[in-house]
Amino acid sequence: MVGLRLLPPLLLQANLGYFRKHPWLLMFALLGIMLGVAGVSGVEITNYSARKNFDIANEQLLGQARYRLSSEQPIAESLLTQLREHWGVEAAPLISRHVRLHNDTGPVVQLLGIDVFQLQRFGPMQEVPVSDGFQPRQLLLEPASVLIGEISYQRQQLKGAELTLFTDRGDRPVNIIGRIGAADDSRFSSLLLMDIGRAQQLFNMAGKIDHIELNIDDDKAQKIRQWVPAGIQLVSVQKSRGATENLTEALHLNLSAMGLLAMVVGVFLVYNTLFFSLVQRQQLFGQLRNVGVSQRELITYLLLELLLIGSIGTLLGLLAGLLLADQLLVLVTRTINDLYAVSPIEILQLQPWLILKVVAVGLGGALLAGLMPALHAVKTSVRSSQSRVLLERKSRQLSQRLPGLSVLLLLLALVLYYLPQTGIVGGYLLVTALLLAGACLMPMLVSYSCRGLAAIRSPQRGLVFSMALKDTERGLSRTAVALMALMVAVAVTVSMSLMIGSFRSTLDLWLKQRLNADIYISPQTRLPDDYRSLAPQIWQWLQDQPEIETLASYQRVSTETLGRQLQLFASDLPPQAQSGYRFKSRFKHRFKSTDVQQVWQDFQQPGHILISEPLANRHGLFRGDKIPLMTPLGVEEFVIAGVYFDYGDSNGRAILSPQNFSRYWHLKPGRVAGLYLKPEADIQSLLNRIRRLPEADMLRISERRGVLDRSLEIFERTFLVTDVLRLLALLVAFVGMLSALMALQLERQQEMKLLRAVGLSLKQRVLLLSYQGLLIGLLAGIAAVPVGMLLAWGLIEVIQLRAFGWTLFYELEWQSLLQAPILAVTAALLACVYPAWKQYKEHSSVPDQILKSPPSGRLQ
Amino acid sequence: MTRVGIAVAALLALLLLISPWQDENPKSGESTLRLAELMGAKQDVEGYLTARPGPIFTFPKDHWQHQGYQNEWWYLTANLHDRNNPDIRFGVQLTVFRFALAADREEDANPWLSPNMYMAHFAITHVADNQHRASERFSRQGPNLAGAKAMPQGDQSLAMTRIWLADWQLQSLTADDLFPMLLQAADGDKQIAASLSLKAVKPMVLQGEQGFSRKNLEGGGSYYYSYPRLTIAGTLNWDKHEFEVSGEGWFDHEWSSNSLAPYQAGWDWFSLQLQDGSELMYYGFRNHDGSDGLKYLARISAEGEKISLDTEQLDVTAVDQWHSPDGTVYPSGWRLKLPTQGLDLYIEPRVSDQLMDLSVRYWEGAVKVSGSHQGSGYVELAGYK
Repeated sequence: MVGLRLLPPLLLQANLGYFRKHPWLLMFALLGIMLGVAGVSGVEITNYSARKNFDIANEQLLGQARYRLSSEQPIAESLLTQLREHWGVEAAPLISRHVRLHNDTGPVVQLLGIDVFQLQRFGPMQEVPVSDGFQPRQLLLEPASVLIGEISYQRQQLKGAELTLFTDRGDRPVNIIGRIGAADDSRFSSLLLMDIGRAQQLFNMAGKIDHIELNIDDDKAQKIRQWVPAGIQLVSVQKSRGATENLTEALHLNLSAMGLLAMVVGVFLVYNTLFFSLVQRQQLFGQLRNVGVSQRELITYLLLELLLIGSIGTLLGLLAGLLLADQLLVLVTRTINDLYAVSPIEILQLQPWLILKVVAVGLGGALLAGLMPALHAVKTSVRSSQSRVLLERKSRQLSQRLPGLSVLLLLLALVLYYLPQTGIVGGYLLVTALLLAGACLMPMLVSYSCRGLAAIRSPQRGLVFSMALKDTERGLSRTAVALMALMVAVAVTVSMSLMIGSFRSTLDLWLKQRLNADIYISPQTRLPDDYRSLAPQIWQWLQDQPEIETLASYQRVSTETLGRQLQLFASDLPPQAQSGYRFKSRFKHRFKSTDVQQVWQDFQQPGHILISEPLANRHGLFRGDKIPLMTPLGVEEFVIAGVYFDYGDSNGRAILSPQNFSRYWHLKPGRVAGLYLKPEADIQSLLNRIRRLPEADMLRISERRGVLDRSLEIFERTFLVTDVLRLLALLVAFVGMLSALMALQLERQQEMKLLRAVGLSLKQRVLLLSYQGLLIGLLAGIAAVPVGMLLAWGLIEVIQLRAFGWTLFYELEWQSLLQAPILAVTAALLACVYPAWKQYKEHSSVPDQILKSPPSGRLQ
Repeated sequence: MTRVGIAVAALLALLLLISPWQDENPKSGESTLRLAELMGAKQDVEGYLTARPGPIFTFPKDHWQHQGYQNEWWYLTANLHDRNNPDIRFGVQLTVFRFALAADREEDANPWLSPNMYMAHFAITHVADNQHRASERFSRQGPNLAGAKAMPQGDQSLAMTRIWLADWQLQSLTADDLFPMLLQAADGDKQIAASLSLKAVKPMVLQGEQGFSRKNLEGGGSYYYSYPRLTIAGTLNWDKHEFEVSGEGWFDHEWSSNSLAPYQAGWDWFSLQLQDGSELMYYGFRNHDGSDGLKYLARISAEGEKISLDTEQLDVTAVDQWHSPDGTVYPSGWRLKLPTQGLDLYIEPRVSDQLMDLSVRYWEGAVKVSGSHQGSGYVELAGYK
């Protein structure tokens, strides 16, 4: 702050004096920036960390490999030999399995079986430290030897070298012969390395490997693609990475949206506070100008002040953001773990550019919010005596223009709505436009409301209330911004509540409809990549049970379509199960229903497929269109029999009938059985008989209730993250309102003295303050309801649809709606407490009688 | 002679190099410098079979890999020329090394658990362009990723010797013998490739004492036999050009566990094919203290008879030097004199830079022989720093 030295000391003293007298304003300004920055940085750091950790967990070791050969079942290792001999390409074997540490409830880790002597060709591993005395050859020479990440070893509090792994082949003892990576190197978290031969021994898969990693160019890939046997797919590693990234995109996007909204509210808050501090100091500035401070000096000073407040606020915000991210990351990681059955790491990943971005947002926000009022204040400061009058006039002119601006913004929103190609960015612009349009209408609303209320004045209402009405309308120059800030804050929380509520109820309904069998049976597995089917004798046994009316069967595999990963289901669905599916019509209007009967008939036909709404939306596909699908026999085109609503995967899902599935896949369909019982059936006796089956130990038997509860529980945990953020937004909004209103009230202290002088009692003055606070709070709160509803519509119908391709069913929760005015009024009343107390204090220290004349706006 | 030394150095280097997490990574070349250290006290031959005097070989079995011995190599060098223009000359080298990480293999038949590691070096010298390009490959034995054994060929039930690493190979074309043989190797990045057929014009020679090649006076040695003269025809690729070539080559196979003594620093090795139909094989060790170590010279007559010569009168003097880019000074050109045999030869590299700048660094290149006899050959210089 070298600039400070160049400024006249008087300027600094005067302003310091001002802030000493009004510490609240300073605090609110700092708080505004801090909360905004905390929101943005908390979310950004969380998102970045979660993504980075997820990536790290997935493909750290596979470094430069560009292509991967995979199949639905393990590949014969002779294929690797042929690739190396006939093609002379760099090819490495890979076994990739998930196992649990210790036992069937231990943490999931990824076990990679690799050719330890070839690793360097693929991975960027040269500079990784490894524990003393370890030699790679040990991995080959010593049975069941594993290398574990130092980070996991410490975090899991392992001791010694012995470790038990829970695998799909049961418990296996292994021997830790080395630890890899530094203790804080998250790349090696949740990771075990074995030599390929030892991994084959561990999983009883002699002669087989899961994948072959290839370091080849695209031309060679094209040739090899032609050459590999049927049933084996060559996929670009980049592409499959992209797919895993997509999985978490939904979560991150939602978080980002909330972080940004928190920032918007924060900026409003800062603007409001700074605006007040400037309006209050206008007289002061005028006097400073009179004693010779130049306009340039004044502007320089104000800019420095802004930067200082911005910097301190940003710094505090960043610290708070880190604390927030630390908490959020745990929740996000748990969610990712729940949804995708991987165990990413919970480590905050910081990047200089990330910090820089946050600082830029914080400082930028402060400057953006403060620059206009600062320039304005300086310009008008010369005519200090008439400044208030001028300000009022000017702001009235401005507020006359606001409705027009509002209409323009609404038009912009409309245009964006009809331009889906503007994508998510367009969606955000649309929502912002709606929000600002609502905010622009606020002054007009207040003005009309006050006039309206004044017109229906009755004698009972009393003088003070009328004064409050008049005063509020007249004081719009000061109150307009506070009002807008209030409304924005409340509307944002309302819209978020509504959106999340709609999301939740849509998912709830979807799960309840979809999971409608009475009992589900699947092979017992605690590992994410186990595709074993139920044994044929179990299917036979189930068919013979008298209680069972009908059976549904499900199998799930991963495949690719149109360059994206896709979850493909092979499902045999009886009418009961079919009733769990709702279809989208060919047209945009959802109420025009599709011929469901026809859809299910088509589904059974050869070459037909059902696809989920996100997949359909992403590629603009409708019933009757064709979709290419990667199958073990190559890419095949399927006719879309129907598009069903689904929220399980924003990447999309698809369903084939078992007959269609078996035409292309060797995997047996029927991994999971859904049992629909006869109405009078005794579910307990059936369950008991199932549990007495010889294979029962290998089965996972769940009643509908249990499955539903578990699914809902997982989704609830997903929402926990959003809830935390919503709470944060609510807090920002509340503090924002509080500070805006309090600043408003504190600014009136001078006026109060005047009112006191003309004879208003303490009670009357406090009432006046309260009425005004209440009025503003109520008006903002009520206005926030429709604006919030509109915003929620934008979030649901535009942003969610564009980002994830799914249609949420808009649900109005009255709690969320009611929340708005309550929040606003509470904040408004709370904001009156301190000014009222101040009135009381002044009153008791200086009785009315002593007060002779109103104090002039003397320089203090 | 003694590329066993190289094999040991190479494979120890290979372990350092391939080990993906080396922390103090050796600058390439240093591995060679550590050669003697690695082959001395640190070399643990416990449990391995050792080469001893008086071996009895059985072929074709002894063409294949020798389980139980720590290291082994198969080595082919050739001086070739363009069939249409004999002035366009080439040198070609393909060497396959095997190194065992452990003496025994466990009961499990899983091929990945074989302790055999393979490394192969492939180089072409383009004499007219004054250029030399070298390339290397690594692989564990694994499920036939690399090896040296009899492999059934195609639909024929006959198994024929094959020495290979990925797509580089020396493939016998008959079941009973090593030759005729096919050589195939290519490196797309370096733009070199060779596809050659090789025939033995002279019978196999057991080197040293009936196949036991002595390395020092402490009992160190290896099993070693050679095919000293092969006729070769085929194609070479260099950049975008393909050359129809023919010429002569030399094949060695050597295996051991007990190699050099701690005081031995390196060696010079010559294989020379003279125009009178005879061949010379010479090696001389250098000790750390700068003194000369054990020397050996054998002459194979035009009729194929091998005579180990008395090295008392032998004088091999370097007449020039070549400075490698890393500053190492190699001898470059020699005068070899043995009056009792009427030998006074000038041996001169066809290209001075034929450095094998790979994970193990050594100089190996085609040479021209003049003086009392005319001829061609290959020279290997190891352990220079």
